[in-house]
Amino acid sequence: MRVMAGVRRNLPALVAWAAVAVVAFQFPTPVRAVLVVVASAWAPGAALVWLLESADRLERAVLTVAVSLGVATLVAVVLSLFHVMTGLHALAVLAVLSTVAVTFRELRV
Amino acid sequence: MKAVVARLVGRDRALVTERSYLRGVIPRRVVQCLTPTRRAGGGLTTATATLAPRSRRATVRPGSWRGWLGLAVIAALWGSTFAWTVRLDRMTDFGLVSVMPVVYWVAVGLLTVSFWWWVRWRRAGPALLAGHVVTLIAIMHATPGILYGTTRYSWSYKHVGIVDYIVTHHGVDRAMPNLTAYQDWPGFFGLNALFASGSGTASALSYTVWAPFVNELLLLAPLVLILRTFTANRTVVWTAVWLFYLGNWIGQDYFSPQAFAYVLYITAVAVVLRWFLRLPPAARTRWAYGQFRLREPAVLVTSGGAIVEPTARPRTPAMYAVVVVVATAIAVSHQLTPFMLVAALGGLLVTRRLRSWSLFVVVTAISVGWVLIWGLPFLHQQLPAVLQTLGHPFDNTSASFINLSVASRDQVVVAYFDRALTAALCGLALIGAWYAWRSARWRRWQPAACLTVTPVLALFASSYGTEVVFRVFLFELPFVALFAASVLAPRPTGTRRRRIIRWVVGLGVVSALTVSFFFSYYGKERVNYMPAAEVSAMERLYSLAPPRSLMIEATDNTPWAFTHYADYQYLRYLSGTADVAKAVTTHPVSALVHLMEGYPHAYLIFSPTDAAQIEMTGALAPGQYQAIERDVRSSPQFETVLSQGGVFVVTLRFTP
Repeated sequence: MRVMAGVRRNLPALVAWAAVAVVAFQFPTPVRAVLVVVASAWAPGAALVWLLESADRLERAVLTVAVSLGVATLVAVVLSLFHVMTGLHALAVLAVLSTVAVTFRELRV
Repeated sequence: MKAVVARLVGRDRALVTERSYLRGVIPRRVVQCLTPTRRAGGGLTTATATLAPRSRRATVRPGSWRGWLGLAVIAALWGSTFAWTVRLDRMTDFGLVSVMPVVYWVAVGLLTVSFWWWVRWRRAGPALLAGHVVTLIAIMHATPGILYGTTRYSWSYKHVGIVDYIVTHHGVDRAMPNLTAYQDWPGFFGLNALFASGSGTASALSYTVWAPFVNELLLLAPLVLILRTFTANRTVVWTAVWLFYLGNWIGQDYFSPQAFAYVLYITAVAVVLRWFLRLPPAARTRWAYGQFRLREPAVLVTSGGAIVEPTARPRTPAMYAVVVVVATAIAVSHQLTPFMLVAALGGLLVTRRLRSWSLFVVVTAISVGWVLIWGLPFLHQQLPAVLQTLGHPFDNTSASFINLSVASRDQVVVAYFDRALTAALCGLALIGAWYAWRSARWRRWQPAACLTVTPVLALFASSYGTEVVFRVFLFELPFVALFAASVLAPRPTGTRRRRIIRWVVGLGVVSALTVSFFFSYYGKERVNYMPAAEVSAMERLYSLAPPRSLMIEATDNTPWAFTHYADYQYLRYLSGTADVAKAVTTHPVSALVHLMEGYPHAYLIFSPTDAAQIEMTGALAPGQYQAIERDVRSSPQFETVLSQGGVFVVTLRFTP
């Protein structure tokens, strides 16, 4: 039970690293596509949304997607400006951000 | 348990919700009950309902399974549309309206009636109403993609080309002569490069066919949040959502930075309205003591049933950061949307409804800062045109409309439909605003009125490539829909006869708006439809044409530039200078040879979609495009390179 709770709390970071793994190891496209979309449109926001103190499920859902897309966009822009933009690099940065957010939450709790 | 909570979080923070409820909500409810406008029985019922413990049985939606069953039937009917043979090649200037089978229209009609039936019940479940809206979005925006099998609208292909560039070159190049603005505002393209490169697809074209459906779907949740900020009345909220989708005919939902930035804009506005909005304190005090005959409580109701005043909501630094992140993502993605957000925040600040002036300053600094730091070359390039249109709202507005005197007859009808749809929604919104202004609701709805007006400022700033009036309508649409819904939404009050009349009239108006939407949105599909054969012909052309070649066409309405766009140059002979257009129309062969002979390789393209664009907009006299094509085909100076899927490509026989 405690393991499951831990997995649930760390799910955003786990999903993001799973996406990094499937991209790095060139998994087949449908699997990669699903994980990449979830890792960039859900994971960073889900890792950060606990900071937002909203009990409303709809609010949390909207904020999760908006923060994720916002952060993913900014990461992609910064990497593009430095001419190092690849899917793997961007996902790795998102995974690090998600991990930091999740770890920060664990430390706070 | 409560003692443990108090020990852990401190006495000040413990049980704050309960204390706020005891100190705030219950006294107000009692005051409401005691106001002379309410009958004693009603007051007692309200007080009892407020004070009684909440029961889970209250959330049961009796009969809603019938709604879901009906929805399943409608979805099945819509799905059966694709079993029919839809002759897209027989599309007239009415677009998809002219070729869709009867079963499709039956599904649309049934969905409208079903929604209007269920929305009148205040207790109809939000899931059922959301199901109706999602079905509507699918019917409206997924149908073209499923039928075509290709991405619609020629500009989507150019946007795919920018994504392809970032995937190939791992970055942007500001010195690029073609489509410079996209290199300066790369947010949307970078994000899609992440999707495309990460998922290992050959091109973003593999998923852009779904862009209109996904973009419209992404708007739904933040839109509901915005509307719920203004009213707890579920009927008004979902009627407004329905009207928003019926009114969103201008087609800015294709694969584009503006569609993405609009989703972020709506989200940012939702966050600002729910966390940074202020009600005037004096008015709240008056409200609390029942000095106004209020129709609705001036409170914000969350989906969990908790009732809080907007001013009681804490402005956490985290929410501030959310707005800043979203505003930055908008600023790096699109040119116009950041300034629409700045105008919205400025409007709320001026009307003293924004609780944080620093938020306005920070968002303005981000928006202006990106233009000054990264977009300056583009701004410098566009400055003369901007200065020319600055301060001319009427000229900017009139520049946006198509010239009905030269458009095809069907397109004139389509134009009347879209104008009527816009006018009807704005008219209903004006009536709604008038009623709101005369009622106590105005205090809460004034920010909505403010956000309806702020996009209009763009009319004074620029014609935005003759599109500004449509963009203004798009940005004010959520609030126009709210005011319109407050007039149109069925009400449970009054005699049975009045309720029925009101419901029937509402259904009639919504049906008329639905018809108008389909003519307005689908009416341009003849030019937006990019047949698979044409896309494949262009792919073939790119495999033949060496880098640095010139691609030349009449109007730009062809699926081109979606791959290796930086390696080629593009020329539109009807969209360029008037001299070139005149020369090509009077002496086609010599003028085209003159345009092409300066390049080592130049390809002149004739395509059915380009011909459709010319025919519908009246860019050339009827038959003139075909005459140019005939002259070129019969000229010995050109040789055929490609003839496939209706696309005909020639090059100069003797290149220098």
